[in-house]
Amino acid sequence: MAAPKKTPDRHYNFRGMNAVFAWSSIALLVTTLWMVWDDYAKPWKRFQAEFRERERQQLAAEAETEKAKLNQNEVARIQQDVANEEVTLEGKRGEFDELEATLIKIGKNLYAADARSRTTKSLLDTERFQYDSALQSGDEERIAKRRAEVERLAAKHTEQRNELEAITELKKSLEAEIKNKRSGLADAEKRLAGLRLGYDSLQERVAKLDKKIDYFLLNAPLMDFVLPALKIDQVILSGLYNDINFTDVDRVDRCMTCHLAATRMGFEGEEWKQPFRSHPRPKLFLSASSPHPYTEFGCTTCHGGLDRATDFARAGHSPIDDEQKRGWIEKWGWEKQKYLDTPILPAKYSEAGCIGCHAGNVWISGSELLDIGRQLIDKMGCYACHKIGYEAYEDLPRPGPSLRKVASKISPGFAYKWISAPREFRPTTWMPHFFFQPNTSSEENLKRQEAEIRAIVAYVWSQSATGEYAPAPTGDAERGQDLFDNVGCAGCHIRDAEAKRDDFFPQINRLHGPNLIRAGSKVSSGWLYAWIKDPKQYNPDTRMPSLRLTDQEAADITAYLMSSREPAYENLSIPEVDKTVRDELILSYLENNFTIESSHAKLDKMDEGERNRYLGEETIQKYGCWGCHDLEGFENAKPIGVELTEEGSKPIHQFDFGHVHDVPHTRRDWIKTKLMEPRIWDQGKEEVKSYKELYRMPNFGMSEREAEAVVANVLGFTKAYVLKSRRADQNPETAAIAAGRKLITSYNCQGCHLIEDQGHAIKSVIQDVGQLPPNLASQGARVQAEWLFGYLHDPSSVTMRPWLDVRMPTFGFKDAQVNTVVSYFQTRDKTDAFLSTPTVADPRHRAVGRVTFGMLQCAKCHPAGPQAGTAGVTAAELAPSLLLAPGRLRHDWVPEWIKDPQSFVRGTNMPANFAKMKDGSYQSPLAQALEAPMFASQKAEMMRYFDSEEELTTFLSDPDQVVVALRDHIWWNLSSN
Amino acid sequence: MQQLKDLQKAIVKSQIWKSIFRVGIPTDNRKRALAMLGNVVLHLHPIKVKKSGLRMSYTWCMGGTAFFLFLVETITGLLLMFYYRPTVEYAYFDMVDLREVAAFGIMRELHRWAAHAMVIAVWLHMFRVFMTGSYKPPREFNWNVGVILLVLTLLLSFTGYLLPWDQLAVWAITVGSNMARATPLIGAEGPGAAFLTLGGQKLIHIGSDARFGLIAGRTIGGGTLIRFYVLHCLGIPFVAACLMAVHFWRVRRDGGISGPV
Amino acid sequence: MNKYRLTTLSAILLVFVFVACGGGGDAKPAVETSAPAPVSESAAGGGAISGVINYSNGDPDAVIKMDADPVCLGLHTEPVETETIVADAGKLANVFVYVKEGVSGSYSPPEEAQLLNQEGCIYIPHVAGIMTGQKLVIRNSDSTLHNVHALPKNNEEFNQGQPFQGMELEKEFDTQEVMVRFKCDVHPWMGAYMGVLDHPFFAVSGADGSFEIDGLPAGDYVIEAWHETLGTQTQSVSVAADGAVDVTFDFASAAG
Repeated sequence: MAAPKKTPDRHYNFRGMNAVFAWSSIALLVTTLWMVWDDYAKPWKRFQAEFRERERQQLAAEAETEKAKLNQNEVARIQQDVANEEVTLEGKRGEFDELEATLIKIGKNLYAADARSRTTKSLLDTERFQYDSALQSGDEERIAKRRAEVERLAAKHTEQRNELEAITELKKSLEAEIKNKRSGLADAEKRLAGLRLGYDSLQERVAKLDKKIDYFLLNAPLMDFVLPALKIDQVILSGLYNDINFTDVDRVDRCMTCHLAATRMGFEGEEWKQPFRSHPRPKLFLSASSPHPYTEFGCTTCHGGLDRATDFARAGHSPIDDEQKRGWIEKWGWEKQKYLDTPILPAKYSEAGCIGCHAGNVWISGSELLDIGRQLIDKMGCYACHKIGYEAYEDLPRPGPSLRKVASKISPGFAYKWISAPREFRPTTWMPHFFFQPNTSSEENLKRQEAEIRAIVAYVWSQSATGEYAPAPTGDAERGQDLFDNVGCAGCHIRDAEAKRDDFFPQINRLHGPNLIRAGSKVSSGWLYAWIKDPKQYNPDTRMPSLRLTDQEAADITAYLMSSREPAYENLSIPEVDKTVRDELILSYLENNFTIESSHAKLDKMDEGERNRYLGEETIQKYGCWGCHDLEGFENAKPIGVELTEEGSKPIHQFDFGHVHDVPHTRRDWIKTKLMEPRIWDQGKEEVKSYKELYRMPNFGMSEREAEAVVANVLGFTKAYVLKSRRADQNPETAAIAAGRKLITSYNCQGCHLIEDQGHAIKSVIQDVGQLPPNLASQGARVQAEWLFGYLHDPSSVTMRPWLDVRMPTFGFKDAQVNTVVSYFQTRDKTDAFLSTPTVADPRHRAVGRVTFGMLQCAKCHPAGPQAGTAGVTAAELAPSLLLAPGRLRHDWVPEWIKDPQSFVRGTNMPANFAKMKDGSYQSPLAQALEAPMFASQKAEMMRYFDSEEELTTFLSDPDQVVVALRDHIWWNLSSN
Repeated sequence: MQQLKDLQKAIVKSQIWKSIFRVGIPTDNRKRALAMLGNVVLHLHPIKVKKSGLRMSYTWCMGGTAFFLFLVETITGLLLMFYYRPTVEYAYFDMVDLREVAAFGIMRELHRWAAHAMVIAVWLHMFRVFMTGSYKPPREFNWNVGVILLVLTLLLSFTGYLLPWDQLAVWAITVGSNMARATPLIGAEGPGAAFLTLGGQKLIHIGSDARFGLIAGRTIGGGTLIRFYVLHCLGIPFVAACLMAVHFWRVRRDGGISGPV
Repeated sequence: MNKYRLTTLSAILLVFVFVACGGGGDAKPAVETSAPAPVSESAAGGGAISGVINYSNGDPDAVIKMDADPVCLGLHTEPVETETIVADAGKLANVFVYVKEGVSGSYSPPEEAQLLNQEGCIYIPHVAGIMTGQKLVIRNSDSTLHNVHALPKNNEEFNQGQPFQGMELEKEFDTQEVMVRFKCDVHPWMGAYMGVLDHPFFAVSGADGSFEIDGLPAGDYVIEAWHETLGTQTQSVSVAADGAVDVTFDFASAAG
């Protein structure tokens, strides 16, 4: 230490110390200020300031445009008017001053009079209370005194009120006078303001966004709690919660702090980049009148992410690919949030968020990708192995055909070749590849799989009922093709050698039934003939309906289908089984339950057949075939796949990425990779895993877009985060509609019909629009429930459209199923199930109906008898016979239909006879038309039932009356009732 | 200028001033000593500091640092108490909100960093005391007090760790508190648990042992959270403050910091 | 240091802190905004595009069979040719030619209505153009039932019956659409097409295959020729102020 100076008892050099302390204090101060600054200067403030500035610029530009639009001459003229008026007023200044002085004086008088009146009133009220007390006391003297007081005060009050009112009147008249005198100026100013309205209001908005000194002060650190312009925007969502294991906590969404234009329209252009873009489809999302207003649903319910975050990275924004990731890291310092379980879904998978609330609706309208994925899950049968606890996938039929009688249908050789590689025979099949996948490609494993397939066939054949089919009668393949294309087979089946499954995306239900190419190589003609004549004789639970084919028709179609063969496939040889390998497999199963020694003993006791069958049974248990196929002995077996009900919430570390390093560690990438290459996670593990431990999920040959559609759904299978009361309506009505939709999907009604504006898959084969099966919109409102019930059980009972080649098939529904369909239609149209009995119409209605029926020429399209169309007319313009109406249609619906057919079935050929006005009312052309001389006899006919011409005209001018009359004509004149 | 001087003189001579500031600015050693003794804050500070006490290479200044950090913790902790609610619904999200929304939410970060630094400081202090032999007579008692303070610091750290209520917190405390099960006699899975019986009934079981008392339940839950919060904010700091007073007094009493052994 | 100086310095620092960081985010906007273009009534120009549509594949001889409705049959003494391809002497009629790109400004629809007449059980005209907001009058001049079923994609669909002779229906389209198909559900051979545009620069080729679009301001345009079965063809032209441009389309190669 240096020798101390000046003061002897100081140890340290104080100048030095001062320096140290000074510098460290400054350092501390700087650090503190830096800390405060870091805490204050958040990125969201920069976004808000930027948006503010851009909006201000845009408004300023708009204001300038408005200004330019102003006709300057006009403005100048009015300003001159204003100036003139002001001058005139100035001239009258003396008058005004006098009036205003008087007004002030009167104002004072008014105030005083008012005060007096009020005082008197309050005294009166007091007195009345006293009077009341006096009455209670019963003291006569007191009572009398009080009464007198009350009366006096009441009188005084009335007097003062009159005085007050008089003064008020006077004041009003004076004010009116002044206003009158000023009216010229006021008028001119108003005109000026009106002219400048657009510009002025825009200028006001610009001014609000200007950065004046108070902007800086109000947004300064420490001051910004008072009235900041830059502030957090949050919305608290009750019922939509975060599940944090111990409890559920309502979400608090702060996304709009940066996404300032989300609920506003007009920010869709290219120049507006996120986060300043409007949300797409504002009619459906976020606007106040949409079903999902922002204040009730926020953002994270659908999109995921950390609701309370106000920072770009912490909110959980996920880049869709590496390129975007690099850009974000560079531009925004993005970091992956390791501990966030629910990152924001990438834009293309946003629809996954719909499932949380809308799962009960089965078909989620407005979602394209989601619905396609749902159909794929349905057709591929994912639900058959993986339990998915949502309405759309519960209690569905098995996706694959029954194998109980398969021995009577195909040969074991075909079965072997098919199981080995289904897409080799039929590229569009939904059955996946279980065998010969990348993780089972070693030589040993190949032999094992051959043994397994042999064993499966052996087992299934041993369980299957056998049967012989007499060969089909000869048929004409050309007629058969005609029938196939036109009688309705094409609604569910294609027959195309070149077809690939992905070609039909997104119309998945074109592949509802199998592609019937090469049928000749698969089945015998006898089986096929018997099958198409009556599918239920082979499988009582089949969804394939009967088209009520005659023997000849069936023979023709059989001939057509059987004409396609693939000899190369038929001649493929089946490899011999390596018995050693097979026996090893059997031992590996036996040793699970028995000691090694007894397993060997058991094996030795089995003969060839028994060995194959044993191995077959075990193999079926390994691969879970019963999930898709109905197999003897496996009716109640549980599906073998992982439950997917909450797959979208599964923590990422629970997904097995194995040794694969080029798949990003996100849920969506894992699921997509798994769907497209199910065995990939065994890569590099062949040494570690035994044969039985290898992954078993089969390969569906999915294209990328098929996989993405399914991924969109799986990402939506999450833990519940919406209170039941907040979900889309879950009531008996939605349940009825959901049940109906499930049935419609299972039986592919949309293959032929248009239901909820989707379907008509058969359109790709049937060119003539008139030959298409009908649009089933408003079916519930239209037909009688009992009739529909009977019709669905037996469509041959009535033919509404005899000109159609396509036939409504007989599905052989159970009553419960038919009731589901009827209930679906009625619930959709909100029809009252009860239908009153129609009363016989009076003669007037019947007459008017008959005459107008003729005038409107209804018979041009509606035959009066159930005959087919006349020569030269195509099916496009004919309509069902009206004789069928009373037994089929609801009598309360027919008048509404005639009045406005387009409101029930959009695009219907039935014309509207009553023009719809802009205000929603309908106009009848009949009254006016009746004036024409050619309708004189009709007029005379109708006049017989009316007292005067006015009455007739009134009747005919009212569309509601006319349509009722027409209905009455159909009900009571046409039929013999 | 003269007026200013007169004004100053008038103020300093007034009764109010004298009642607040007993001693003027010291001009000699006596006055210096008086200033120290007469002031509650300054009297904690020794009047004279020995030369040896300023050798940082010897003292490391860790004790002072630990105390300084304790003060930082108290102040930042107090500020955090305005926003943080120790219930299972709010604990985690209040912490998130402090980070995202609250002004000066950086107090939470400070509190956490200071906590880690304080634990390091007290360990280093303990090492230093050991290595300089400052536990030797007459300072044995102070060493013990110091050890208790160490334990209290670690307990503060332990109880505070639970408060963010995230996965790390809950599981760390689960594992940590599970150890209490193994306590002899009063731990349900420890040796001698069956010892304490009354009429054939075990008194010490999973719902009544030391661990139960610690975490207010059979598992970590809302009860644990509030209990740890109270311990963290009031219970342990209070005890620690008392013991620190003893600790500092003892140091002074025994001749100041790093006086000869 | 003098304690006064210290206080003063801190105060200055504090003030500095407030003023400097009061902005909180005065970053320059990242993207320039563009002011919206001023809207004004456009003046008609003097330029014109005219030309001819060639089609050398011959006129099909098909005839419309009106047997289904005896009234229709009775309205004609000679057979009526189908309207899908009307090609006389190698020139194609009923081709809708319009300016697809390059039109700027707004145009108000004319006061007169466009007429769509049903006469002799065919639509007259078969192809026409109409502006958005312009009145369309649909008249039934026959004594049989017709219904007018319009099938637009961007506009509202309608299907109105016209059972009485002389009945008229007034409609308007409010969104641009090329082309809107009209059909009659009673008489399936009837069809018409309307091109709905928000500017008046369109024309339909006549029996001699010629068309003319005038009133164009100077500029570069893309014009498209549309035919109901032969598809569309586009060409780019440059029109000088008061200039005329001649364009030819050939649909023969398109058909095939």
